[in-house]
This record gives sequence, structure tokens and C-alpha cells, in this order.
Amino acid sequence: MSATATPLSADQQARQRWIGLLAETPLPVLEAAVTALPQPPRYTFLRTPETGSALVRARSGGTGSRFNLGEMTLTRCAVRLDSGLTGFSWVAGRDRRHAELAAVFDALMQDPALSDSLDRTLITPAEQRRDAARHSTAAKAAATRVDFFTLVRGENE
Amino acid sequence: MTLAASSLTPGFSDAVHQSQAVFRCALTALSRPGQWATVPHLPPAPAPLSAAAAAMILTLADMDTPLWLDPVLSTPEVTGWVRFHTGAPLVSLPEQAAFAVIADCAALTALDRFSLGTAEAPDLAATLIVQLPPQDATSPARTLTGPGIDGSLSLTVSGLPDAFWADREAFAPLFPQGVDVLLTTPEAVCGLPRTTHATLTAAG
Repeated sequence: MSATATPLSADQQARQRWIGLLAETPLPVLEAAVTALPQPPRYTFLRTPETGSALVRARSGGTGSRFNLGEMTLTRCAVRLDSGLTGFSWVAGRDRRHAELAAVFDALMQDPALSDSLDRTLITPAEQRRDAARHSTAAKAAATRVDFFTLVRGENE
Repeated sequence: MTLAASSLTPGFSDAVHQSQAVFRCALTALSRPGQWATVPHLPPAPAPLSAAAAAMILTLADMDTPLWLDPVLSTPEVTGWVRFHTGAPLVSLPEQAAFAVIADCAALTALDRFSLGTAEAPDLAATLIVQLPPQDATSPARTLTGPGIDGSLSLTVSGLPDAFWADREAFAPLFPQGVDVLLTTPEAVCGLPRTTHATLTAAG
């Protein structure tokens, strides 16, 4: 965002991907994934789930000057697993359990023993679901597209 | 992020109710100067920050209160913990601080480094949260008088330099300007608001 922002490392980009996907994954899917773990995760809260609002900013046309789009409700949480790994989450809405589980999975994804299987069973399917939903929305919008043509008028001969 | 997240310790387990209870405790301490009040909830604080001082920071500091940590407390663990849990801006100059946290009591001289407020806005004065060293009962007692004290009260505190007490007295004519002080042991707090006068108790 700011002019001084440094490019993210590959690890940071990978983590950004799964944090974003975990925030969009429906709670029942996360609950099912917890019960599917080989052993239930043990963790303490660094920050118990708390709800607040954040200002969403945008740029007109994607590249123009910044403006305030509006505020959105979000819930954030931070946990530490007993193994010492920490997980963070920011989730749209006010679902505290969702924020909690998203933070737990962020921490678990940093565990080399679990990250591959979790990526296969949880993260990649979530990504496919999200992409499919985006395509379906885009396809519905594209179907309503109207192209305007200007007919050649006589005086330009 | 300057702090390894693995060394971060939690704050209050129930932020709303515990900070309300600790705020009540801080109010009691400042309205009954010189009397120790037990801090009801002590968060697991990163060393060298004491638990009672940490409870005060969690309760009082937020993103609108610039916080100054003395050099002893300016470790990555403490600054990271304060930033994570309170979001308070950490300032490098004492005069910018609304709250100053001091662990090195021997260096607590020149109180005029801190904001005394102005005659029009005395509420802009700094509040000092002082972490006292382990107490020694043989140090000289001081007699406290002022609002909130019925007559006078004797307080024995060791570890604070004479210049600290001298500066507090020097500020008295400037009232309503001055600094408020919260003295802390690891689990209790004692208020010394700017209205309290402390004089060395005459021996014998």
C-alpha cells in the first residue's frame, strides 16, 4: 500500500494466500477439518476473538486516487499452539469461532509436518471453490453485457 | 514486524471485564494516595515489565495515548507486546508521552522531562507508571498530606531518588500542572497524584 512497502517473500506470499482463503472458508468446512486432524490442536489465545470495524479504502478505477469506500465489520484473533507456532486471522463478519479456527489453521499451516496434507484437503479445495464462484459471477455478469456500436452516419463521406 | 511472534505473551484473558476491574483499582489508588491497592488481574508480562505495570498499560493505554518506555524497558519483547495488545504509539521523547513506564527507578530524576500539562489543559500532563525495585523496610518514611488523605499518612518506599521527591515538591506551586505517579510492586499499585505533598518524616 505505502510507497515504502517491500515486496513479499515467497513464504509471505504463501501465507497471505492461505490466510485469505481461511477467512473465506465457511465455518462448517473448518469445523470438519478440525475433527479430521490426527489430534485436536492445543492452543492458547494471544488475543481472544474480538470484533471491530475497519475502514476499506479503494482507488477509483483501480489506479486513481484513494478514497474511503466504507467500513466493514471484522473479527480478529491470534493464537499460539503448544508447539510455539502462532496463527493470526482477520475474518469478515462477527463470527468469533470462525476467527478462532482460521487462526488455528494459520498456525498449523506453518507446521511442516501438516502443511502439505492441509493444503491438499483444505486450502486448495477452498481456492477452487472461490475461483469457481468468481467465474460463475463473472459469467453471469458477462451474459448481461451490452455492446454499443455507432453506426456510420452520412456526413463523414 | 520487529518481534518474533513466538515470544509474544497473552494480555488479559477477558479484556473487557478485567481491564474494567483494573481501571477501578487505578481509580482507587489515585483517589486514596499512599494506600496500596492490590491489582485484581495480572497478565503474563514479558520481562522486565512487571505484572502490575503491565496490567496498568493494558488498561490505560490505547492508540490515542503516546507511551514512553524507559531504556531498560525498551526491549523488543516489551515494545512488541505493548504494540500488539494496546496499539499505543511508542514515543522516543518523554515530553511527548501521555503515559511513561519506568523500570529504572534510580534514573527517575528530572521529572520536568515529562509533560506537566498547561494551565488551561492540565489533563495533558503525563502519568508515570513506576516499577519499584524489591522493597526494603528500613528506608525513610514520608508523610503524605493532601486530598484523599484523612489528616496524614506515612508511606515507606525505597528505590526512588531524592531528586524525584524534590521535583514533585518543586511542581506544587505550578498546580494544576504537575505529573501523576502510579507506583507499582509486582502485584499492587499506589497512587501519588500531583495534589499529594510528601515530606520526609522527622526522625524520632
